[in-house]
Amino acid sequence: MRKKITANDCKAMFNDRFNSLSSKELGIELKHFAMGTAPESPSFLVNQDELKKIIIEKLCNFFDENKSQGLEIVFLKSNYGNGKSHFIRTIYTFLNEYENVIAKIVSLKQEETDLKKRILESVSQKRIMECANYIVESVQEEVISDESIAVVNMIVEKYEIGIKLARLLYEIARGESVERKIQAIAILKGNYEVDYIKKFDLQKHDLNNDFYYNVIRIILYYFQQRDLYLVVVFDEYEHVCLWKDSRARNSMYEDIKLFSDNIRKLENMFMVFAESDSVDNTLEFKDDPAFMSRKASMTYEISDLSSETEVDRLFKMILKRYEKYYNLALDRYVDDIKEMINEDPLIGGKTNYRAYTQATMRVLDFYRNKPPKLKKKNNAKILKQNIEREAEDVNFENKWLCATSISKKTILCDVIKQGIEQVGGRVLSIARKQGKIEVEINNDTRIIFVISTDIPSTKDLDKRMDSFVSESMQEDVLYPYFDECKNLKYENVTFYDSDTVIKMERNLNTKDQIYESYENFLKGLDIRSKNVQEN
Amino acid sequence: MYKKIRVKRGDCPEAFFKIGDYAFEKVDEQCKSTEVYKYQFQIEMSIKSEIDVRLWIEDIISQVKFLTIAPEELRKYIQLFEENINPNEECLFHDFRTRFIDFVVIKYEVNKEMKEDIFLYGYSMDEKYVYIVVKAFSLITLSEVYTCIIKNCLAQDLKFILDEDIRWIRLNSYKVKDDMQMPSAQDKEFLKKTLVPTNFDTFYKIFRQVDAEGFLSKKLYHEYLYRDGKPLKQVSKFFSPYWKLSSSMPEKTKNILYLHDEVPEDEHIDSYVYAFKPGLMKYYLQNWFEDFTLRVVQDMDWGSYSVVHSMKGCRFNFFNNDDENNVREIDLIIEIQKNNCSKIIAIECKKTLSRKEIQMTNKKSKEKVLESGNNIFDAFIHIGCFKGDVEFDIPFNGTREKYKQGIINAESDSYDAPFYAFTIKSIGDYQKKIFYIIEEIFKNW
Repeated sequence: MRKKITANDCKAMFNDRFNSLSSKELGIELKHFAMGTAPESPSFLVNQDELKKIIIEKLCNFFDENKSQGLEIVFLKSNYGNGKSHFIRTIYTFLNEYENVIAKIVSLKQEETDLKKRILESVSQKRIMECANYIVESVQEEVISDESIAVVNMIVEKYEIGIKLARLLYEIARGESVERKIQAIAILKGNYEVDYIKKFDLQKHDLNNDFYYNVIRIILYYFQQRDLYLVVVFDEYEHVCLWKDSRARNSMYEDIKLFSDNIRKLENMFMVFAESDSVDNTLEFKDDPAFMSRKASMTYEISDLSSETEVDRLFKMILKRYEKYYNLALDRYVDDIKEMINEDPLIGGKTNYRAYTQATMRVLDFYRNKPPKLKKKNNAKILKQNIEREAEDVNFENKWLCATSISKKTILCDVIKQGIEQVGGRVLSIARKQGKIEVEINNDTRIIFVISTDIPSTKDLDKRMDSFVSESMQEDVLYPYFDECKNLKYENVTFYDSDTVIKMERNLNTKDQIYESYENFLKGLDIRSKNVQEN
Repeated sequence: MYKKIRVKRGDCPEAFFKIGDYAFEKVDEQCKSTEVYKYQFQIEMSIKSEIDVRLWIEDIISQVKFLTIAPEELRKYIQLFEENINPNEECLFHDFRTRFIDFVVIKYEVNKEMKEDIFLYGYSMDEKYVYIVVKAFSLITLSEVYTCIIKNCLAQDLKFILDEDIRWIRLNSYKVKDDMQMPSAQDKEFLKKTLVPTNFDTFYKIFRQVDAEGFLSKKLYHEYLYRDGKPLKQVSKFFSPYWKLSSSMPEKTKNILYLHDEVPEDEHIDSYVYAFKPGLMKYYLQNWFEDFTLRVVQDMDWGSYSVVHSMKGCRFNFFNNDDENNVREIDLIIEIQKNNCSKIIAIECKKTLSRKEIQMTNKKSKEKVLESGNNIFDAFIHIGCFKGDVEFDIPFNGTREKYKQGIINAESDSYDAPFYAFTIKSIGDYQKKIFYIIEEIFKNW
C-alpha cells in the first residue's frame, strides 16, 4: 500500500538508492547506461547539486500547506545528452510512489497543443467525476431547494464559475443517464465529439479559454480539499518554438502567463517544462518578449558534468553497481579504467552525461571480459602529468584547427563557460549549437553570442548585430577576426582567432594566467588586445 | 463447419461486427484466424455502477479510448450478433458471461514503437467483487492490460483472484507442437525407485560408474548392491549381467561387451559385468534426470513458496516465427509463487555438469531466448548430477558446498538474465540447494 507524501519525504528524492536495488534493477539500469538511454527509474544523480537543492526546496514547500505559495512552474533547460530525461524521470519515479500524487510526463511534440487540455489529459475521468460529486455535495446543505437550478446557481455563486460549467458538473454528479455523464466528462476533459456539445445546449465558443481555465481551477480546488497533488512534466518543450502556427505558440505562452499570474488560485499543481537546447528559440523571443523575460526567472539549467569530481562520482556510482551486478572487484584496475574512459572516442572533448555513461560501460565490459595486464605506473608522476598536459595541448590545438565552423562554436562556448566560472560568474544557460550563453556577472545578466563563420565580413557582422537587439539585457558578441574589422566601431564585439582561443584554453587549464574580471577575460580572446600588447 | 474469428482493421465487407476501425469476421477453420485470449479477474472492490468500472480502467491505463459512449449491456450484442449462429463456431460475446461490455482501444509502447490495439472489457459487479473478463487479440495487449490491473491492485492493496500468470500463457504460446514421448512402465518404475532417498544414495554411486564405463564391475556390483549379505532388490532389479570378453586382434586388444541377458552359471567367472536392462539405458541417458528433477521439485516441502506450474522437455520458438533454427528445447520449466509474486525458471538438467556445457547452454539461451525480445524467464538454472570441470565459487550459506552464479548478457536492448549452476549429492542435498537458489532468485530478481 502506498503512503501519502509529506514535505520531508522530498528531501530523499535524489538519494542514492544503491542499497535497496535488486540485481534485476541493477541490470536494467546498467543496460540503459550501455544503450545511452535514461533509466525508467534512475537510482542516483551525481551532478546538478545546485538544481537538486532548488527542486527539493520547491517541492518541500509545495507539499507543505504552511509554506506552499500555490501553483509552481519550473523550466528545466538542458543541452543534448546532459541527462535531462534522467533528471525528470528521477522526479517522476519518486513522486509516483505516493498515493496522493498524480505524476504525469506529457510530451509536447504535437503541434497546436492547448496547454490546458494537456493538463486535463493528466487528470483521469474518474477524478473529474469525483470532483463533480464533491462540488455538488459541497453546496447541497446551503441550498434551500433540492432542485437542480438551485444547486447549479449555488455552484456558480460559491465557486465563481459560469453556469454552463456548473450545469455540466451537476449532470456528472446527479444526472441519471450514464451516457450523458460520460459526455459531460468528455467535454470537461476537452476530448469530446462535436455532437456532444449540442446535447448540452452549448456552443463551441462556450468552451473557450476561460471555461477550461475554470475547469482546471475547480479540479485543483477539489485536489486541495482531498490532499491530492498534480505534478505534470511537459517534456520536449523546445518543440513549441517549431510549431508553425503562431497562434498556437502564442496561446501556449499566454496560458503559461495566465497560470503564473494566478498561482494562488491554482494550488496543488506543479508544472515542469523540460526543454532541450537543440532548437533555435529566437521565435519564442520574437513572439512574446514579455513571456521570455518571465520565463527566464523560472528557468534552471541542467548542466553538464562540470568538474572532475562529478565525473569521478559518476564513475564510482556506475562502478559499484557494475561490481555488485557481476559479483566482481575491479578496484586494482580503477586508474587504468579511468584512463581508458578518457581516451574513449565517445568522450572526445564532450563532457555530457550520456557520453560518460556509455564510455564507462564499454570500458567496464572490456575489463570484465578480457582484463588486460595492469599498466606499470611511471614513478615520475609529475613528468607524466606534464607529458599528458602537452598531449592535451596538442589535442586541443589539433581539435580547434581541424574543427568545422559549427564545432568551433561549440568549443568556444565551452572555453567561455570555463572563463566565466574563473572570473566568478555563473552560466545561467548555454545553447552551444546556437552559440548563445546567458551569464550572470556581478549580479548583471548578460548574453554572449558566439559566431563562427568561415567567411567573416563586415556585411555579415552588421546583419547579425541587427538581430541581437535586446532591450533588457547587455550583450557581448564574439566574431572571427578579419582584416577590415579594425575599422569597425562595435564596442561589444570581441574578435578572436585561432591563436587567442588556443592560448586562452591553455591559460584556463594550466592557470598560468588568472583572469580576474570578465573584461580581462574577453580581452584575452581579442586579437586586437594581443596586437596592442605586442606593439 | 467450425468457424473462427479474424480481426481486421479497416474495410471488411464480410465482417459480422464492426466497431471503430476494427472489423470482426468469421473464417473457416483452415484459414488464418486471430488467436483470441480470454482472461478473467475477480477483484475485491465495492463498485455499484458500470460507469465506475469503466472509469476505474481509464484511471489505471493511461492511454485508452472507449469506442462506445457508455458501457453497454452484453446481452444486446449477443442478441444482435450471436443469437442465431452455429454453436460450434467461435463466439465473440457469448462466453463473456458478464453484464456489461466495453470496447477499448489501448495504446502502448512495444519495442520502442507505439502500438494500438483493441480489447473487449466485460464486467459484472456484486456487493463485494468486480468480475472482469478481458478478451484480447494479441498476447502482448493482454499482458499490457493485465500488468496495469495487477499493478494497480497491488498499489491499492486490493485483493484479487486470477486465472493464471499471464507469462505462463505467453510461454505456452511460444511452444512448438511436438509428439510427446511416453515413458514405459519400466522407466516409471525406475524413476520411482530412484526417488527413494536411501535407494538414491546407491543409485548415485552406480550412475557415476555407469557414466564412466558404461557398466558396473562384478566387484562394485557386490559392493553397492548387497547390504548385510542380502541383495538390494529395489535397485538390483534394473540391472542384468553381461559377458565382457577380451578379443585379441593383431593390432590391439579390444573389449567386447556381449549384450544378452543369460545369467552366468559359473559364479567364479569374474569376466561378467552389470549394466542396465535393455531399453532402460536410453531412458537413463535421455530423460531420467529431467523426470527425477521434476518429481523432486514437485514433491518437496516448499514452505511459503508453491510450485504452481511445471513443464518438461518442451521446445519453444520465442521469436514466434517458422524458423526451425530459432527453436530451443528446455528440459524443465517451473513457476514458483510466493505471496503475489511468481518466478518462471528454466532448468537444464545435465548428468555431468561441465564448464563447456554451461557456456554452450547459456549461449543458446542468449541467442534463442533473450535476443528474441520475448524472454519470460526470471532465471536459468543448470543442475548436474555429477560435477565436471566447472568451478563453483559462491558458498551456500552455512555449508561448505558451493554454486556458480553469473549473468547471461543480451547484446540487443533486451534485458540480461541470471544463471545459477550446482550439482547434487543426494535427494536431501538437492532439495536444500534448489530451495536456496529459488530464495536467492526471489530476493534478487
